[in-house]
Amino acid sequence: MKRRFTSLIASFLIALTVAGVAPITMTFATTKADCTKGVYLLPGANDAFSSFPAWYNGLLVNDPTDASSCVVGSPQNFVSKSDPTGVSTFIWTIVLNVIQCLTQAAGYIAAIFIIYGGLQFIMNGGDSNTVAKGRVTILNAVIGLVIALVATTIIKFILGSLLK
Amino acid sequence: MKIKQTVTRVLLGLGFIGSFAAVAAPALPTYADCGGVPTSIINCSAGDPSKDTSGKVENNPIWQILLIVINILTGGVGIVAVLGLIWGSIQWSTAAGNPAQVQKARTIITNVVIGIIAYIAMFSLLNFLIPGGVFNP
Repeated sequence: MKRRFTSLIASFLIALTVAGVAPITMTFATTKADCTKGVYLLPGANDAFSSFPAWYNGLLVNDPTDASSCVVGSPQNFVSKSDPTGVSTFIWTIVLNVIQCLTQAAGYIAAIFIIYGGLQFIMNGGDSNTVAKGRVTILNAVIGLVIALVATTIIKFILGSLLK
Repeated sequence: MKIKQTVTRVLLGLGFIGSFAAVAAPALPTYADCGGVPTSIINCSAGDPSKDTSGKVENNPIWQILLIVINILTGGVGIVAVLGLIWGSIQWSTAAGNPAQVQKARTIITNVVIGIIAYIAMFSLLNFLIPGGVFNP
């Protein structure tokens, strides 16, 4: 039961990732496209909290041949003072997008396992063993959710002073 | 369990390969010519013996490549730590009532914390040893 749940979720997430590859070139009605706007994989969502970001968010630049569309830039588009080649920014932006996907996946997975634990709680058929199992399931789901939510804050708090 | 893991890994791998293959890699403009080899990311005209006779290590192309690598790695410490913490928390969430998997998730998170402490120790030691600091290229 649990195994089937997990593989269902996994295939759903992978389908989203693959589907998000398609809109790499976005065409806008305006003459100069706004490439700083993020792309999110769930239809209709355009903010960071309701959907999965595309891996190329933050890497889009105006197409040099056609300013009305956006393409994934090269590292030289992201050169800054602390990163003279732009390679570091390029790589870690992709990883940060993956992290954002994973944080949101952690939220959805925790919600599903809280529901699953709740079902164990109410559909126990008088078996106190199942009630205890449901309690532990909910507890573990909440612990995982809390760690995922505070992970970014903790690391930023610890390493923020070292890494600017 | 084995089958599920294998299928998940294959699908994840396919997803990653797919998402990277879809980008036509933009041709990088050539910056410089290093002994007949065109390069895009380092400026090695300073390291050319016929043009640069200062003998400074900072003008060596290998030094510049080292700086790029250090830059990438220092940028990634916190990011990879967050990645590890979130991966551990997902394992913890999906453990349901299975103590073995909770233990596995706890081990992942402990190792992340050990890694952060080791990094802080290394950073402090290097900043103590090398005047001016190492991470300011």
